[in-house]
Amino acid sequence: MAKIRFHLAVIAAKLTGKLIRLLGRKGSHNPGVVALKICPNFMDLAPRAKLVVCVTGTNGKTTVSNMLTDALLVTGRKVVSNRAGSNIVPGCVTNLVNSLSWTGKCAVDATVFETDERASRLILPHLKPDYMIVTNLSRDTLKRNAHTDYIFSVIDTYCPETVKLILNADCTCSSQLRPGNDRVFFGVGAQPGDHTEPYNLIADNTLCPKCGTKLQYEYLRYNHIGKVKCPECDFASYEAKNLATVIDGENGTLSVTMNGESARFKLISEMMHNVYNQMAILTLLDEIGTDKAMIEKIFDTIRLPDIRFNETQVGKLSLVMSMGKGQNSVSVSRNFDFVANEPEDKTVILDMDDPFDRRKSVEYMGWIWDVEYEQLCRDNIKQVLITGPRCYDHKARLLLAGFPEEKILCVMDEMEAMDHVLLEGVEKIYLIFDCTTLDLANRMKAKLLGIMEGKK
Amino acid sequence: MRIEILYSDLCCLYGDKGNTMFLRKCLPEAEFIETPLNGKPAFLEGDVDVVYLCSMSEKSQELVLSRLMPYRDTIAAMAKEGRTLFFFVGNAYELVGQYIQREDGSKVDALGLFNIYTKRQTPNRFNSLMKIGFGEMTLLGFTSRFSHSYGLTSDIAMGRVEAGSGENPTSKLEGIYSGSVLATYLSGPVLVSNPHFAHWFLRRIGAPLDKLPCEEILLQAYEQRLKDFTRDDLEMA
Repeated sequence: MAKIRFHLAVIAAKLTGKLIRLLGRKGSHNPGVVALKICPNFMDLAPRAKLVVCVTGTNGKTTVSNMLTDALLVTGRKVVSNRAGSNIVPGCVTNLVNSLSWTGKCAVDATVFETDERASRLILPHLKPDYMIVTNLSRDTLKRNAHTDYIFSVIDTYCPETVKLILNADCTCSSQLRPGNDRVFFGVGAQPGDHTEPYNLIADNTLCPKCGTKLQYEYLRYNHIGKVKCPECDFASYEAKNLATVIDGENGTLSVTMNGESARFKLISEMMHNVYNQMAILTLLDEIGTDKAMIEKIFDTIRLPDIRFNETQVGKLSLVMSMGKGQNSVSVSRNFDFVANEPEDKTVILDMDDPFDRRKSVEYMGWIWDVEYEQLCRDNIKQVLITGPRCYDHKARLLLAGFPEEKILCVMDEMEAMDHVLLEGVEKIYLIFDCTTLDLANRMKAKLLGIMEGKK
Repeated sequence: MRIEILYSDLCCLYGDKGNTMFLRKCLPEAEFIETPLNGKPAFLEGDVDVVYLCSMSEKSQELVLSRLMPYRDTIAAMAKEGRTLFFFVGNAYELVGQYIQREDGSKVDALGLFNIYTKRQTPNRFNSLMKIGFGEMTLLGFTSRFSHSYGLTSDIAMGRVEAGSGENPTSKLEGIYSGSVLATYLSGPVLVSNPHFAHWFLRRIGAPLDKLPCEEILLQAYEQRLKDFTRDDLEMA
């Protein structure tokens, strides 16, 4: 009976996917819903690909799973991933459906599952991946993810003991996951400009998990990410098997120590969080036995997903779309850090309001107070244009950070706001948007590009 | 003016730093003391005007209680009267009760200042907007937690909930304002998001201001939220 249900579920889910795609939508969620309705234990019954990888963590999981999928494609494998959409249970089941033939046989070499960390309790015990990459754990939206202790406990409890974990040695939280499992660590070694004391507004997990003493950093990158030891007990960061040693932005290369040997690859992105993402991918590739020449080819080929970050030049002006994660103070602060440190004179547009909350609720504005608006207090930021219903809350935070009031403009309606973007006296315009506002952000982009064309 | 922030390495989850960030702007002459988890609280030596403790994880609640319980009698005496205001925000509220019941039924003793108690329900996250009548003021905010509290009575309650949920989904009472304790389930930057309440708070601690920093924009933000709270189709979670 279970087998009949499973086969019916495969066919029904595939038909649903086809129908939804005919209607012009992605169909990344509903096929999974249909499959689970017919066969609740679909994930347990579906045949597995030779390689099953889950990617989770607070920040970077979409980037890593996208680039990892591309990397595996470069190796010649047939791969499916849920990169098109949902990373909760129905999205993962849809991905599984996509890995199967109509007769329910596995039709791919590898499946990559971007896995929501909170939903991982419902996914990991059933998928039982060969590998799980955990990019990092830091604070996220309070409504869903509560705090890192909770997310840590979810992954730690529900990750099967057979899974080999690929962990960030520099994350004092996620590196402590599942000590009984096989684990391999990646990291980024000491770099010029590193700190040795927490300097960000938010730095969770800076106390020793064994004795509660404040940890000492050999080097600290941002938030709580760095190499630590406890001055009072034997707690210390794990040693990374694969370590980035030299990040050469000028020449676009990344030097690493891999299994004790030196190697050099193309640098995918200078942004430090993306160096960690690249090291996570490198470590997975190394674990599955990819040789150095192939890794070189992969890093020469793959690039950051456009959806996260893209730039359009119009005459002398450039519009940069930079996706953040609304209600995630660490993600938005990293975004601010990058934008603020870019040397050009610029305008910054904020489109951060949550579209679900705005529909019938009022977004919790507390997270704004964990975001480092202080980063934006630079002379070369000529205007901050804030949009959405909570624009005044953002403005209050920006003012208390010390940003000059005369350079702030609040326009609640996002599309109308595009008429007020400062274009004169700047070289770049950064539109920082929440990942759930992509459609709106693209409409804002289209309107703004039109205005920029007109002024060319 | 001396303001002690207890265990800020652990207890700062939901934008709660906004309160002290704001107080630092309001009171530039004040001394702010950040007490680490393994440090001795400054208020035990006296001469502290405000003790501020805010949101933390459930695991951290137990760590914090392990540090504060040795001083329970001193805290109880100070909470009844005295100049030190204990300002507890978010689930720090739960620490002033008798106990916290874990999901498995076992209990952790809390400070026992009031006859309330808490039951955890992890992984069921409870989210709710909150609109609270406190004196002549209307406080706007949000609660997000893995627990509910019970036993609050109107004589010690900080306010009545006009929209959303109180200490538990069936209660209309929220928070405690009694003696020298001001404790609320509201998360995060309650002072910044409620400028009228910020004025009241500053008067209560003996540091009134004619005008708050950025008062106009704080009021504008508050009014916009108040307007959004009155929409007919408002969903509380």
